[in-house]
Amino acid sequence: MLNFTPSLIIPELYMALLLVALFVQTVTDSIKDRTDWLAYAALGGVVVAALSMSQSGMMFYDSYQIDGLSQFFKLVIALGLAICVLNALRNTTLGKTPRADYFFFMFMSAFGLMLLSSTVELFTIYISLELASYSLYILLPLRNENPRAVEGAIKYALFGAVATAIGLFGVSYIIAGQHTTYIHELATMNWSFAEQPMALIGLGLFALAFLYKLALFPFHFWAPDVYQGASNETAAFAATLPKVGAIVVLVRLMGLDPGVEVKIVLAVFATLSMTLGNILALRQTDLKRLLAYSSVAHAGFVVMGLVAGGAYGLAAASYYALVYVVMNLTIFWVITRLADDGRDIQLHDLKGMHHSTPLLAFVLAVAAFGLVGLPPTGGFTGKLFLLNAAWGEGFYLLVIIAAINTAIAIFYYLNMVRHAYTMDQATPSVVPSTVIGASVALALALGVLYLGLMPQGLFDLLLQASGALLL
Amino acid sequence: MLQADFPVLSALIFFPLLAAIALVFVRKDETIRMVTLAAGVVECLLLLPLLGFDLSTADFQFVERHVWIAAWNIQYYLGIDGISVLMIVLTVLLLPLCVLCSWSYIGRRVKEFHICLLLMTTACVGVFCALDFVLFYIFWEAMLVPMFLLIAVWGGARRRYASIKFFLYTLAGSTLLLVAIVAFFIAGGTFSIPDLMSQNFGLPFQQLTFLAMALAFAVKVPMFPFHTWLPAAHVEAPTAGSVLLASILLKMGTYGFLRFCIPITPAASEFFAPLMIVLAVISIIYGSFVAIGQQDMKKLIAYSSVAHMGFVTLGIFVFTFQGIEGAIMHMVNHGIITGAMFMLVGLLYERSHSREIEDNLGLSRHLPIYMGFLLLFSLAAFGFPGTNGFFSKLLVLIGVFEASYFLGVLFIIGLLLGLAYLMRLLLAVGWGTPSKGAGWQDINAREWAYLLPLLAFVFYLGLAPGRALNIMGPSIENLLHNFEQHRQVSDNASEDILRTWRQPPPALIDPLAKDSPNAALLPRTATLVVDHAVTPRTN
Amino acid sequence: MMPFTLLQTILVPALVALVILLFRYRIGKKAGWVAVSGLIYTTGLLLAALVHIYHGGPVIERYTILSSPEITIHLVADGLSIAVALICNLLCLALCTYSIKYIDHRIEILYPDLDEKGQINYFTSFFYLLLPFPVGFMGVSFSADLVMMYFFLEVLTLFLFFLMAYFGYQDRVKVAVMCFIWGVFSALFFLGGVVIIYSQVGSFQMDQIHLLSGHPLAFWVILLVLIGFFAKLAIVPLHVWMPWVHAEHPTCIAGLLAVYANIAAYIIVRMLVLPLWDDFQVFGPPIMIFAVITMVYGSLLTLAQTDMKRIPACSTISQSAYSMLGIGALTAASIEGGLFFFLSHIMGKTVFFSACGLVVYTTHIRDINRLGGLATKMPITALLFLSGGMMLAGIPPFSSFAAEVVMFAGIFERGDNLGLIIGIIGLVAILLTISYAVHFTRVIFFGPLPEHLAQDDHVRDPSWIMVAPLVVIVLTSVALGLYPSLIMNLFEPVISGYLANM
Repeated sequence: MLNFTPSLIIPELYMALLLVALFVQTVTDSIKDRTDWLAYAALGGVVVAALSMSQSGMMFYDSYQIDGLSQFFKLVIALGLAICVLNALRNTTLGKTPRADYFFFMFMSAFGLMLLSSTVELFTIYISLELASYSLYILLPLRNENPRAVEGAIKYALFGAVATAIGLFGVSYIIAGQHTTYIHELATMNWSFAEQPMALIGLGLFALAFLYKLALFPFHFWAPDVYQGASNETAAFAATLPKVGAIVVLVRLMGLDPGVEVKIVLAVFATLSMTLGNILALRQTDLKRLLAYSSVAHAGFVVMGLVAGGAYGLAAASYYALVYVVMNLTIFWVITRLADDGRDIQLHDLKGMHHSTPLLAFVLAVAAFGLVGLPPTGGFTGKLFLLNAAWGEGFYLLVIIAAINTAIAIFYYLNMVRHAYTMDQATPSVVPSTVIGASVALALALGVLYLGLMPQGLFDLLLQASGALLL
Repeated sequence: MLQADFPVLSALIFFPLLAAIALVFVRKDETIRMVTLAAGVVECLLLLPLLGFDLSTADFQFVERHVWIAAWNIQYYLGIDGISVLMIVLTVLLLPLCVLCSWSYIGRRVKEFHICLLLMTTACVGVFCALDFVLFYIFWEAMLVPMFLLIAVWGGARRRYASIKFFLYTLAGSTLLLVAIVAFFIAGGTFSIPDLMSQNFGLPFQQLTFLAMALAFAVKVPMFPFHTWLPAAHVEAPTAGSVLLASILLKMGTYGFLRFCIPITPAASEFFAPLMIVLAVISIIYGSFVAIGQQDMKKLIAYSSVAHMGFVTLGIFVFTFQGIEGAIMHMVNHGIITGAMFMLVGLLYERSHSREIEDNLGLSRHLPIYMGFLLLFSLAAFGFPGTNGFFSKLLVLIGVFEASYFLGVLFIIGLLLGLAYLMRLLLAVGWGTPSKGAGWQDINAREWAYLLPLLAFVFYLGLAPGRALNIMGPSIENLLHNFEQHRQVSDNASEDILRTWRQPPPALIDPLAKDSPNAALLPRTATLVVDHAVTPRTN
Repeated sequence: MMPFTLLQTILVPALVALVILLFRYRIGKKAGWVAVSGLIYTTGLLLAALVHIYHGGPVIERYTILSSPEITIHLVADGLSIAVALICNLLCLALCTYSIKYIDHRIEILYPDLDEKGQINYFTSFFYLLLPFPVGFMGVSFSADLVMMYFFLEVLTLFLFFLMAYFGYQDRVKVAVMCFIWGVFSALFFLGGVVIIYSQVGSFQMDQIHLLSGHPLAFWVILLVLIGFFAKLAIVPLHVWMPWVHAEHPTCIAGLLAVYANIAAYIIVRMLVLPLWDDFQVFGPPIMIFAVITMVYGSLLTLAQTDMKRIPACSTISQSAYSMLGIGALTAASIEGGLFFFLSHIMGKTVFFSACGLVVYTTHIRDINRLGGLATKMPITALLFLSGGMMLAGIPPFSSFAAEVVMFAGIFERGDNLGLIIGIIGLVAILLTISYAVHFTRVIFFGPLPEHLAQDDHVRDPSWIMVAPLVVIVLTSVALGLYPSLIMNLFEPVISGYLANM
């Protein structure tokens, strides 16, 4: 049945409304560049998403599920979007592109991700994913006709298209094997390799599309070029929210409890991903490129939670996704503040920050140590949950390698802090400070610390949500 | 008096943090120093409730226990016993002294410096108070960042190299500690340290977790061959940084052995004791020999720390009452003595702008009071009778002799080597020619103010160590008693190894339950109970 | 008897030293007399204790400072320790008095460019550095607790280092370090032995050591402690430090140095020989052999010296070995004689060295080849030098003669060939001692008076402050020589009594 209950999907409706307004703006020449209102609108989206946290129900012929998990991720997406919008409002590298167009696609992508977090039917998932991806393909090259941006975007689009095509191909296997595309029906099916090899392979191929979004090794090669090529503000968006969308789908898929074969393949990918990501990051001097490789490593961590499975593992993965988003938004916020003219920030640009912008230096340090996983930041707590879950399921080697990776990772994150705190620039750069810039930075840093010290409420919520998923 | 439920330990931990936050809003350098000093004094006053420490019990006292993350059974769980209380006192007392000794040494970025000092105090006190493994790890890692900054920002010429090395070594060492913590949680169902102590894990499990923990602690101690970060860090760190590093950070390693390795993995501790002892002896001999050859005074003291911490480790891993008693005493004493030595080098550096021995020759005629201090602290470092160093070394020596005579002889050789490097330092600085000290000012009032308390402790602990030993006595007895009981893993426990390795995440465990359900599953061993009192052996 | 008598004998000198240190500018040149008066007081206390011991039993005082491991200040004065303590204290008193004049002269030579304040600084520092010596000697004599004994041994080592480093001769600092390291080396071996005892017996008390008797570890305890103390006693081959030290130290503490080295003999008897009698038997012959070698070697070495200051140095090597010879023979009489000789010899050494010091003090010449015929200008000094030499050589009526008689009687009492041979060689060594004592007396005080000395008006007997203390010691020695039972009655109950009870 259609079951259309508008009260359940207020966040989505709100977003749709905004999209309509933006569309009107894009086609009206006189107000094309007046986008300041979007800041308030995006914050409104956060409020709406927060208010509808406790909703639950099914819609659209059971292909759209409103539950704890989806509402949580919608809130995360709304929050991330709000910060990205605040960030992008001062984007200086858009050139002739109308601002309304830029934000239209950004909101469209976020809208797609929101749909993604609720969809529970394979084709709906696929369509939501494409909605989010196509908008992103357009968003990425919008940077003063910068050739690298275009190169990155094309790479992303081409490989993305292939990845999603493979995903679609996988769906066909699943249908062939299990005769349904509804996740809650798939959950009751047998997923052992011995009896349903085709379905299991299909599931693997379908997951591949999302692992691509997550930039897990060996599907990570787009990340460095896209991060570096895209403008700082766009990169902040592209680095965070699409991954949240991918994670929510993967969480739902792992809720099917597929056989140990899938888990082992994923565990191997996770191991390689975090190790290679960290090792490659060691040599980077471009900050965004460095963060790209670090995101490859973090993808490995998230997958560790997925591999562990169970209520605890999935909740840990979701929690880590949230932490990861906040930490990355924090560090990108610092980058965009530093890159006044929209240039790519190099490591040596961080020199002397302790003097020119002590607050941003502090925020950078918090974010960097969070990414390493040092207490008392959210990075530590999230990682601790992941390790607990994985060890509990017997993935000892994975846990040990993950821990050792922390030691490798510390070098390049510490290098950032070292540049910021212990080195001075010959000519101290002037970083203009604004109230919003400072307060959002501080709020984000406090958020990272809050997630580290007070994970109780959020984690309980996620535990219930993922527990419900498994029933 | 304070109310009974006043959170003494939380106050001790978080007061410096609050002071650090308050410091952000203070502008003038001089005011910052005054405020930090005042905060240090207040922090010392906060120690006063610890006078109510009950000497008759080995239980944890001043316990604060709240659920923190129920889903994972993580608690905010603080408490102290005889092993930790002295370390806390030492940590807190050093704070105002560190402020004083940096008064004129630190000239730039004063605010950040003092914030780092206060954060260090918070983290260090936290480490010694924490009874929840996760909480412990949080404090354990949290202290890296301020220490890194202390070295990297206010350090000497090669500060960047030294600070990164420090950070990488210590962090790399402690990553596996985190894995061990996770493994304990899954196997034991709790992060609570006292609860884990009462469990009996299978031997292979104990061995692996012991190695993971020992690596973290050995890097911190530092034991040979993980010691190479220490001289670099010490040489480059500012005085206060060196003091904190030597007096407190190094102690955390040996504290870790006492708090975690021996009680939680007793069988593995016994299994690996020969390894630890060999490493400790190598640390002693090697550290002393390298110290003899140093030209840089700070490097000399740094290598001597390696040797001293070797004594401590040796005392711990012979598993005798006196050995452990001496080890804890020596942790405190080495903190006092080496802290003072670094302060002395620091104030010499302020005069000569060099830490090389040959730039500071022949001071006894020009700076007699300075030389007096240097001499007294050197004697204490050597373990001259009447100073604090003597009692702790004697106790360790007794413990070591009880365990093995061969080790005892090596220990004595180590002591002699200690004499050699200290004499070399003293002679050159005191009587060397050409004399360099002409025109330098002798100890001023501020310097008196931070050296005298340390000297008072040198003699107080040297002449009347009874009180300190009484404080730790019951806890050590308890530690050894449990060790004797659990040193042999029962057969059941080793069969249980699969179970202890693979427990489902304990979703429904009552976080505040005294005994976790797993404890009931694992049969306790009731092996021989040895009365540890020393009885005269007659023939 | 006063309460805390023994504790006072230890604490009073320490307190006096502290007072001198704190009020050095106020006290100034009077520091020497302050120190002397402190020592007179403690000598009085010791005499009182002596009287008490003659009439009653031993004096025992006990103060607890630490319960586990049990460390108490446990002081015991019996016949043996009171005799050692009293003689040591007397020597300290004498040398302290003697130094009042002497040290002025040293400071003038060493630190000529000082202003008055600086001079007072050095002058007072000598006395507050000297006073720890009586503290250490009393402590070692009375401690019934091994840790305390170790403590006092280290105190002695430390302050000897300072005195040498501040008031010695050319290479003073280097030699002071050498001396310190040897001292600590020996003390650490001692400590090793102590700790083994503790590990087996569970106590640091001297009266518990006998529990170790018969235990295989007793051998190692004895070996460790003996190696340590051989280094302190400068027994060949651990003697190398002694000539150096004697060449560099200020003469006024030469007597102290002799006590510092030889008090080890007392400790050996107290700690090893008596409680571990059976285990010690093995060590008797080697000790005797080493002792005899040292005696002969030391005497020959002495004969070859021409430096005024190296004479006593080398002679000390040979003399210290006498006591060890007596102890090594392991009969009641030989041990008593050995200890008696130790006391006699430190008195003789003090007189002999100080007389050398007097010569150097007045003539400023160290090379004996440039001296001669001084007896006419310095009769009292000559007399003191001669009596010092006779005290060392063991010629009646001095106490060392009585001591040697008892000791050799004890050695021959062994009745075996080894005892016989070693005893005879020992007697030959004594002849060597006599020969060098006479030799130097002749060279320095008789014969022609060199021109430069004859014309020097300063060359005459020094003031009574320097002479009187030496005279007192000579008289003491004579008294003990004439009435050896004064000492032997004290030793008898402790040593013979103990051995009889075995």
